[in-house]
Amino acid sequence: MNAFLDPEAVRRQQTLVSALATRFRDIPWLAWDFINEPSISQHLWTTRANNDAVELQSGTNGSTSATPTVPSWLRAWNLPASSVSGTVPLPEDLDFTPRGVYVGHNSLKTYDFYLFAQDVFSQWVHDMRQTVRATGSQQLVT
Amino acid sequence: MQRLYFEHPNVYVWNQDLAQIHAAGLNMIRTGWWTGWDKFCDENGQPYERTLRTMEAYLMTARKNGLPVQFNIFAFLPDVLAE
Repeated sequence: MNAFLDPEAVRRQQTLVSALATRFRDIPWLAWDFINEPSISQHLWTTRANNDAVELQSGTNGSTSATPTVPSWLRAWNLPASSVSGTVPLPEDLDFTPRGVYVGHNSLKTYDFYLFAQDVFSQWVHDMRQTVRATGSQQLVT
Repeated sequence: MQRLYFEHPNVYVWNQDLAQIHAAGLNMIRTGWWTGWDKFCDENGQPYERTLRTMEAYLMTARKNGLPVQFNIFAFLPDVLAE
């Protein structure tokens, strides 16, 4: 289960956050701080793909109307259409290495994964903040 | 304050530690939950009543010692509720 993207995981997290905020929402000197040292995947302290199904679908494969489609990703990454069948694969470890480009790996894909990770963090925090606010809390959220 | 402060609450010790922190000139405290989530809430994310009461005791102790609290939830990623 993807910790940031799986709806069931997010629902459980919101259950916890909502219960805490509901109990302590009237304390003006209490702030809610989300995630100590955020990591996007099980590979802690590095920005690497989990490579689970939800992430694969969300990251590069047009899960929403705002997300580019497979052909547009391939154009952006300067890859031939014939290089991918089905879903666009997420960048692998070698893609992230500084010398990866010397052996033919595509840094554009890596760059887009960094942007994707920031979007995921941003959306997740937004959802948690909304959960806090829904309890009536006006406390600081960091 | 020891690492398992929340799992094994001791308000007497908290009060001493927080008083010492305040006396040293610090004017807030950042704390939270880092490990042992299964001790605090069920698999659905619902915190136990004892969790909420422990937190209430902690917050009251911080307040007694003039320390606003920034409370952190989730250590590295929210995977504890994604298994």
